[in-house]
Amino acid sequence: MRVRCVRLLTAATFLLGGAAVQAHPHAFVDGGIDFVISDRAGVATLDALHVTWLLDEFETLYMLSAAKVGLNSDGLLDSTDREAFTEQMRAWLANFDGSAHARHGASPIALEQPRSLEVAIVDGRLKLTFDRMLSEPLAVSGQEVEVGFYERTYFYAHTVTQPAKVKGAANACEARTFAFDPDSQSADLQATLQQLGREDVPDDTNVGVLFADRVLLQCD
Amino acid sequence: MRLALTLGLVLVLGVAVFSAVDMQALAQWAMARQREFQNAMAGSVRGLRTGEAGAWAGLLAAAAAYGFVHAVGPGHGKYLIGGVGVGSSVSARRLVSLALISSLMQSLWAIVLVYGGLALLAYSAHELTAFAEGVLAPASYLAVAAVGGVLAWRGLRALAVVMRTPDHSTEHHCGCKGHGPTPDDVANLHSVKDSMMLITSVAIRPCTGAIFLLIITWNMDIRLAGAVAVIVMGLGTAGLTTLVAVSSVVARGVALASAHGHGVASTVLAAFQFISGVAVIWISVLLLRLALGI
Repeated sequence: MRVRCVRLLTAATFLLGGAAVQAHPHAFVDGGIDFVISDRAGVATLDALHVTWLLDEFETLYMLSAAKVGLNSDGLLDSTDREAFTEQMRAWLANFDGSAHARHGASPIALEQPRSLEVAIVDGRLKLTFDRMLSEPLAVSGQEVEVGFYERTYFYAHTVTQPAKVKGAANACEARTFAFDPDSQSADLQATLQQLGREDVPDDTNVGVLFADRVLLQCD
Repeated sequence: MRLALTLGLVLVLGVAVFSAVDMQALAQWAMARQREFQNAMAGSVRGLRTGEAGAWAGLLAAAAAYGFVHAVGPGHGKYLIGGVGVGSSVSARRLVSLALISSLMQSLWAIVLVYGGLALLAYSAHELTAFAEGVLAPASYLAVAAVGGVLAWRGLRALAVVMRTPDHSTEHHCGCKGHGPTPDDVANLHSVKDSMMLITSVAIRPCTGAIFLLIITWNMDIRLAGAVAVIVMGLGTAGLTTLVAVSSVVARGVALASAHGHGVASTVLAAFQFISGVAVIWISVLLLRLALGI
């Protein structure tokens, strides 16, 4: 009898825990990563990552409202509002580490804070594009560089939705994208994360990496 | 023995229902729909701003649908409504009314909080969100746990009375009082105080989707649309809690019909009340721990 009660209550608890909806992730970002390559004395060199974010429609309106900026009667941003909003976004993006996490082999590649930020509204969605310069340009001839497209705490769920491009001296390199491959372990973890509120931070503050889409640069 | 069999059967049925549904899949489904309806609301809000035909209807439809799927998650009092339905002799009609009023009060409170907070106190969107999640959500869980405590205490007291009565199997046969509480005597939320307690505990925490929508509509100067949409969102939430209310009362009715045949209805109802009270406390404490990160 007692065992049955416990099982029932446990089942009820799972129902509530599993169905939590004010959960991580709270907002969804499509977009991707492009690579900016230069030719330095015949050596392909990675100078920067060009990052594109396209926020979902609801989060777009919330972010604009939180920044006290509104859409005009065409559903777009007036130039004054766009400038004010861009200014706020510059400070904000720095807190989110720019959502690009690059590695060369086992070593993380140091990236500068986002710059050249541009803001636009595309079909009701906020589009942000910005560059992350490498702290030190990296010779990539005959090398591979992998970039994870994620935000560490998984407040924002990022998905690569555009093909990765190579800009600049593009002949020697090609870029490919790899979508996150879900497995049962990540499903369990996602169920746990769904219990976190908007103001909460998960215990593992680098949990976003576990669900990341990746972009790979390969150079001859 | 009969009591154990009856209760056991109901509990096993309950576990079977929970086990038959893939909770994770349900949660993922609810989240995906929420995202869909949130974006539909956003599209309609933009439509209102740009004078698009049908934007009002689109916003209200999306808000109602959002309210329903959002209520699949915790914090909307559905577990409290279900617990009360199983563990008291409240009628389905009364419980449905309580579910509806709770949801509407939750919506009204969201409107007062956000529009009042923005207009009178110059709160920022971040401050409002943080207040709702950091203060009001835990307060609601505590209040719901308190209602669960009342349920459990009354159930325990009723059980004690039933057990002290020499021949409690004769209830309803002699037509007199004094043989222990009948199902109607057990807490049935007849009093205004009980109802207010239940409604307040649910309504104290506004739905996060409602807060975001109101922040958006306030900023975009379509405030009436935002307020109406949030009321309709509350009706969508009430749609789900109403289903829970009716299901819980039916489940209790089935169990009691069987128990009544064995002359142990009072005992079963008292036991249900105690168990559902404890379940409500347990779930509230779990949610409180999650909310406080402890």
